[in-house]
Amino acid sequence: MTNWIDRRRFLTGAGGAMLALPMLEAFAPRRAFAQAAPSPKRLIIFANEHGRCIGDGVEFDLWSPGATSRALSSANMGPSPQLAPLAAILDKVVTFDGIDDVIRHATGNGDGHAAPSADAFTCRMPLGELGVDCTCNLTAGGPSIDFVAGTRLRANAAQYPSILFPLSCTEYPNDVFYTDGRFWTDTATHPFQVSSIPRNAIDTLFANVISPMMPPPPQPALKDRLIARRTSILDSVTAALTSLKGRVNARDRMQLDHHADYIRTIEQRQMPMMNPPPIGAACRPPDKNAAPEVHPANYDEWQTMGGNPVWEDGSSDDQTMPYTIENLVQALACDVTRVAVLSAGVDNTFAFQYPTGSNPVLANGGWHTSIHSIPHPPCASGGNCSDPNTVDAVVRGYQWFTQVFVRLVQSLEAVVEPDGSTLLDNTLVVWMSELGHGSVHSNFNIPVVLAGLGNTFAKGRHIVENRRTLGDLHAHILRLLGTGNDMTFGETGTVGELATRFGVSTSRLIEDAGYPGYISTSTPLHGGPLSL
Amino acid sequence: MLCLLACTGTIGDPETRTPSETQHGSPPPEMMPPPPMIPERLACDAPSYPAATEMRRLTFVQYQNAIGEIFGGRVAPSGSFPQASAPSSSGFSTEATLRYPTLQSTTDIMTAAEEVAEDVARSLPALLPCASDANPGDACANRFLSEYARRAYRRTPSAEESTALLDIFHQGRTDGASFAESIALMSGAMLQMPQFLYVAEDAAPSTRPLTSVEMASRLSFMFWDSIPDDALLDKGENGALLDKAEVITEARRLLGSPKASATLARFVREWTGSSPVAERWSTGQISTANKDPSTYPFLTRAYAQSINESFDRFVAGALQRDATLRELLRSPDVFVDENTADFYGVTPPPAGTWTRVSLDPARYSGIMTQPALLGALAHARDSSPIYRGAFILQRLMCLPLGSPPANAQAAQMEQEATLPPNPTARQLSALRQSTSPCSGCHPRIDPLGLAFEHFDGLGRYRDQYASGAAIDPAGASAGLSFVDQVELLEQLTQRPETSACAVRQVFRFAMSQPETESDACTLQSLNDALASTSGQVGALLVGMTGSDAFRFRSDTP
Repeated sequence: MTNWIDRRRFLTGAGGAMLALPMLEAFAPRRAFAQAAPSPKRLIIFANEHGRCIGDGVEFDLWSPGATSRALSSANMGPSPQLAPLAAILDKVVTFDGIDDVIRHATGNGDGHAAPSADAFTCRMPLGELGVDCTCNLTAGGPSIDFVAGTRLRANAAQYPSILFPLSCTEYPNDVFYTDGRFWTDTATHPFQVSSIPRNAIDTLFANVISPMMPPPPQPALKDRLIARRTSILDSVTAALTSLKGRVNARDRMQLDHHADYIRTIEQRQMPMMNPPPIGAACRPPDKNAAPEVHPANYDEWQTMGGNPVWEDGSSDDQTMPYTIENLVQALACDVTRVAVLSAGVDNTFAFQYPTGSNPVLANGGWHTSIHSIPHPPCASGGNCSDPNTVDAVVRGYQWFTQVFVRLVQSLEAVVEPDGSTLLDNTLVVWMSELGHGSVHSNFNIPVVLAGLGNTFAKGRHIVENRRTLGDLHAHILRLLGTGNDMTFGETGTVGELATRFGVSTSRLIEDAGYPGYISTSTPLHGGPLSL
Repeated sequence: MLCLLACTGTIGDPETRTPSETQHGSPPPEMMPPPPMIPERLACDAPSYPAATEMRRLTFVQYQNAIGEIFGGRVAPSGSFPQASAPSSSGFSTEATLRYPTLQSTTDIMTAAEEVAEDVARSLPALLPCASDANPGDACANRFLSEYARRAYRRTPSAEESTALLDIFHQGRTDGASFAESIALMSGAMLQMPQFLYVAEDAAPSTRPLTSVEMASRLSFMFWDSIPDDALLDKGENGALLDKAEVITEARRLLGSPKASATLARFVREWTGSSPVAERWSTGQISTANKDPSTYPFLTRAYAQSINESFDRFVAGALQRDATLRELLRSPDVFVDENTADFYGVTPPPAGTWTRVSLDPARYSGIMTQPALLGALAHARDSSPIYRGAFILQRLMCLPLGSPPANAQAAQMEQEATLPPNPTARQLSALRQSTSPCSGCHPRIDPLGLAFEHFDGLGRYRDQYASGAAIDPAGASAGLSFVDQVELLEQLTQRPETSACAVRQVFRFAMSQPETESDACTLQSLNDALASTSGQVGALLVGMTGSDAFRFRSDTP
C-alpha cells in the first residue's frame, strides 16, 4: 500500500499519464451518480472557546440577532455585529438564544473553562476533583456527542468515529475541547487529533485513501516503505512491550497495556479496507505541496513563556485556516470519517491576524492576540464592555470565527457527492461554545448556530428558546442525523439530583451570576426538543 | 493563625495553582487546618525509601536531546514527537502521569520515528562508514546496532532484542529496499521500542539497590534530560555505579557539564511555577505577547529573550557553582547583555556577550527582583501584588493557599467603586484586606506582594508611581516583618519553611514524582544535608543521588 501523494508525484513526473486516460474513465465518477447509493450523513461541530466573549443575550450583547424569534434577514442582522459575515449565508442557518449548559452548575468547580469544556460535549459530570475550586485534572465523564454520533454513523469499526481538527496552527497541545471534553470512557477510541499544521495532517488523513484514478508509483519511496512496513514494525514493538511487562510492577504494566492497545488500534487502521467506498468526484485529497509551510512558535520557547505564541515567520491562523477546512471537508468527502470537530479550543492562545488598524486593547500590537484575554477582566469591572476599543476588538476577533463558519458551510456546499447531492445536504454543521458570556464565565445563552442537512429543518431563522440545554441540543442532533430517537443526552434529572449523585454539596452549586432565577436545585437538565 | 486557617486550601496540590483573574463562581474551600509544614523532628531510625518510581516516557525535551546524543548530532529530532499535555500536580514536567499513552501519542511516536528514520537514511554514510562498502550486509547492520541501539536502549541490546531489529532490516531487504533504507526501517522500529521510549526499572518485590545500568539512566535524565553519554554508559555496564562514591562522582561530573545548564534552568523554572503548559502568568518567562507594547515599547522579542536568558544563566550558573539558597534569593548580581544592561542602566558588555554585574544591594536581591520572575508575576501593564505575594507563599515557602471564592470578583468591583479615581495598589489592597470575602486571604497575601511595588509590571525599579504617588513597601505577613523587599527576602532566607520548601522541590525534581507522607524521613535528612552545607543547592542535588531514596528501589507497599 502506498499513499496517494506519491502517486501524484509520479503523475506529475510522468507528465502525460493523466491525459492518457480515456475520456470516459475521466468522467466515470460523474456518470456513476445515478446508480450511487445515497450519501451517508455527517456531522461537524465547530467549537470556539469563550462563548460570545462579551454579552449575555440581554446586556452588552453583540452576538444575538434578536431578543425574540424571528426570520433572519440582512436588515435585522444589524444588532449583531459579531455575526455580520453570516449575511452571505443567512438563508442557510438557524441561530439560537436560550440554550444553557446546566450540568456545569452542579460541578462546584471554580474554574471558568475546565468544567464547562469537560461537559459541553458530553453533558456528563466531569470526573476529577469536583467541588474543589481549582483547575485540576477534570476529564469527561462520558462519551461526547461527536463520539456517539460517530460510532452510530460510521461505515465500519475501522473508521475513525470522529477526528478533531485544531483551528489554530500554534501546535498548542492543550486544546480544552480535546483534553477535557471528549471520548473519555472508551480508552480504545481515544480522541484523535490531527496535526494543527494542515500540511502535516494530510498524510495522516489520506494515506489510506485509494483512488482508482491514480496508478501506483514505479518505485516506492522510503516513506512508502515505512508506511507499508508499519504493521510488522508495530508487531515487533508489541513483542517488546510484552517482554517488558513481565519485569515491571503492576502500575507500569498498565501503561504498557494501554500502549499495546493503541498500537492494536493503529494496526487495525493500517488494514486496507475490504470494500473501499466508491470514490467519486467528491473525494479529492488535498495536495500536500499546495499547503503552506508554516512555522509556529518554537515549542520549547513558548511552553515556558506563558503567553501567546510568537510566530516565527509571520504565519497566522489566517494562512492555515483554509487548508484546515479543506482537510476537514475532504476527510468527510473521502469517507475517512463521518464526524469532525473543528476546534478553536486553545485556552489563552488562540491567535489570528486582526485586520489592520491599531487598537490599544489588542495588547500584542493588533496582530496576534488572544480572544480569551480581550474581555477579561469582566465587563462590569470598569465598564470594559462598553469601551469602544473592547467592543471593536471583540467584534473583529469574533467575526473571524464567523468567517470560518461561513467558509466551512460554503466549502461543504461546493462538494458534489457521488449521488449528486452536495456535501452540505448530508452534513449537519453545529457551531457552539463552552460558555455564554465569556467575560463572566457564565453558562447561559451558549451561542449556537446550525446549518446543513438539506430540508431536514427550515433555515433563515433566529430562535429564542425558552431555556433549553446542551443535552437537548445534542439529543436533537442525534435525531436530526436519523441515528435514533434520543430525547435526552448525557445526565438526566435535575441539577440538585446530579450534584447529590456526585457528592457535591448543593450549597456549592455554581451561582447564577447575573441571571437571577435561571438556576436552582430543581432546574431540569433537559427541557424538551428545540423549536426547529 | 485564624486568618491562615481561613484561606488554606486542603485538596490537591495548592502549590501548582496560580492566582488567576479568571476564576469565578466557586465556594470557598472547607476550613481545615493546614498540614504542618515543619513537622516535629522524626526519629527515622529505619531506612526510608520512596514509593517506587513510575516508568516514564521521555519528555519532548528528553527525546530531542536523546536523538542528538544517539546520532552524534547528525540526525534531526522530529517535531512530531508528543509534547506535554497538562501541568503536573507537582509542577515538574518529568512526572510520568503527564505522558500516559494515548492513541494520539502512540501515533505521534510512530510518525516521529518514521521521520527520524528518513533522516538516518540520508545521513547513513556519515553514521555508518561500512554502509559505503560494495555489498554491506548483516555485519554492517550489526555495527549499527552495537553503536546506536546501545545508546538508544541505554545498554547493550540482548540477543533477542538485536534479532527483533535485524528481522525488520531483513524484511526491508526482502521487499527490495536498499541497505540504507533497510537500516532506516530498523531505526524506525528501534525508536518506537519501549527500551528507548521509557525509563523503566524492574519491579523490586523486596527492596534492592538500583542496578548500575538503571543508575546511569537515573543520573543522566536527572542532570541532562538526556540519555547517558558513552562514559556514563560504560560505567553503567561495568557495574561501577553500584558504588555510592562512584554515583556521587558521576553526579558531580554531570552537574558541572555544560549539558546540565538547560536542565538546571528548567528545575528552577518549574520550581518557580513554570510548568510545561504554563498558565498565562505563572511562569518565569517574559514574551512580547504578554506585555503591553505601549507601556513597554522597548520590549522586542530579542529583549524578552535576553531577560529570560539572564534568569536562566543566573540560576544554572548558581547551581553549578554550588551557590547557596541564600545567594539565589539575596545576590544583587545579575547577568547582563546589551539588552539587560539597558534594562538595569549599567554599562553594556560587547555585543553578543554576557557579563556579571553587581547591582545596588539596597534594591536588588536574587531571583525575586529579576524581571523574568517579577514581570511574569504581573499584568500586561501593571504590577500584581497578589501574584507576587501568592508566589512567595506557595512557591518559596510551600504554604497552601486556596483560590478566590465565588463572589470575589463582584465583591471586589463593588468595593473599588468606593475608591477615588486611580487608586494605588496599596489602596486597593487595603479594601481587599478589610472587606469580606477577600479579607479571608488577602491580609496574608498582599503585604508580601506590596513589598515589591518598587518594581513595575516588567520588574523595572521605580522610586515612585508615575502619578507621583509614593511607594511604601513595608509590611508583615507569614511570620515576616519588613521595611522593604530586601528585608523581606533576607528574613525569608532565615525561615525554616524556605529551606524545607527547596528540599521538597529537589526531591520532586530528582525523583520525577511528588513526595508522599512516607518520604518525611528522606526529606528530613535532605534538610539536614542542606543545613550542613550552608544551603548549597547544587550540593544538595548531588547529595540526593547518594541517598538511599535515590539509590534503592522498593515496590513493597
